[in-house]
Amino acid sequence: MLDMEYRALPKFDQEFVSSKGSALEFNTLLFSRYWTGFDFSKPIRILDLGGVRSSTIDFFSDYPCFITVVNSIGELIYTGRDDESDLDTAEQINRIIPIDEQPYDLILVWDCFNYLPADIITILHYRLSLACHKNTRVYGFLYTSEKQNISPWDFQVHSHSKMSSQASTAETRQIRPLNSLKLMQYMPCFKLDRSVLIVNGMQEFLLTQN
Amino acid sequence: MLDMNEIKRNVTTTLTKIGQSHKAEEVTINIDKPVTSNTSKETKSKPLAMIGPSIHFKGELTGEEGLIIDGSIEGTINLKGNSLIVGENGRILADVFANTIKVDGYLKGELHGVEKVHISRNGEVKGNIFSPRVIIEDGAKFKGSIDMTSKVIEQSVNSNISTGSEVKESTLKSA
Repeated sequence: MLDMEYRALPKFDQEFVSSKGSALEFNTLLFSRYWTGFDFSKPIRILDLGGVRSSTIDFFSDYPCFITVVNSIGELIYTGRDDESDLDTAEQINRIIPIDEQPYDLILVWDCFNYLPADIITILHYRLSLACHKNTRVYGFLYTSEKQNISPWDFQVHSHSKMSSQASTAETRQIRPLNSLKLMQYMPCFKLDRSVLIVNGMQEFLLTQN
Repeated sequence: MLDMNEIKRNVTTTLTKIGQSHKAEEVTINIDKPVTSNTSKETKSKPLAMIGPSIHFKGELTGEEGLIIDGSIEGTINLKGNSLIVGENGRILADVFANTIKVDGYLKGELHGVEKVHISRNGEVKGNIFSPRVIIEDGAKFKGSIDMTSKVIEQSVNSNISTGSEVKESTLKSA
């Protein structure tokens, strides 16, 4: 039932964000604690699965960072649905998520797990685990409400303790929310490091490798 | 302001038209030191040279002044200590080394900006950016990596400039 609900999503173009949806500003607790505890004596490697956003880049510009912006959430949502593709699902995900020899320190998945079927989350997490070292953190959000926006939100980082998100549409759907316990079942290579409930039923989480 | 008559005397070329009816012609461009009308003293704001929208260039482009590109370039662009602006009609398939880089058009390649790289809301970049300061306006399209560690950027720009030369012979081909 959960998988079929996820697959009913319309096409999502993350490159364009309309002004139809609502905007939300919120304080982050986990990201703030994690970021302020970072060792900035060496460059921080960040993998951002979302699209490029000006204030996010502005924020990271103040630090010695190496950021890879994949802009892949829209593609990931459609992975496995194209019957005409020559690539199997794992190969499609490998093509979407770039990995080089050096692992990342921080992977920003934003809210994509709320919009992916279980099998895609599992395949994706294997790919992400290859990009991690033992101290890597995966940062994102889960929605605890049964009424959710039909497409992923667009997140921006303004400071280590403040972010905002913008919905691309005001349309919502009824869905059984994905909780952290279920998420860990789909992602056996990772464990939940910390999570905290913030505003509007959003759960901020940090994952670490098992 | 650029003195176009003087430039024409110094440059021998056949422009490539971006169109379907012209056959390929191979020509050589000797690009001498750029000539501007104000050659006596350096002014605070040096005028920018320009590559217009009808020009297609393939090769290594180097210079010691700022440049606006509205045409298409393939290869490498090396502007020591100067600015590069990719205009809205500009289409670049090249690695770029400059002091500041602003993209209002399309660029695919590596961008090395010693001071800053700026992608405007109309710009699209596919590739990696190496610069201590990166500005990406909302609406811009970007896919790639951003390396904001200054030491890496200075080293890469300086090493590229020291292996190149100021006067380059390039080949211009039409489609």
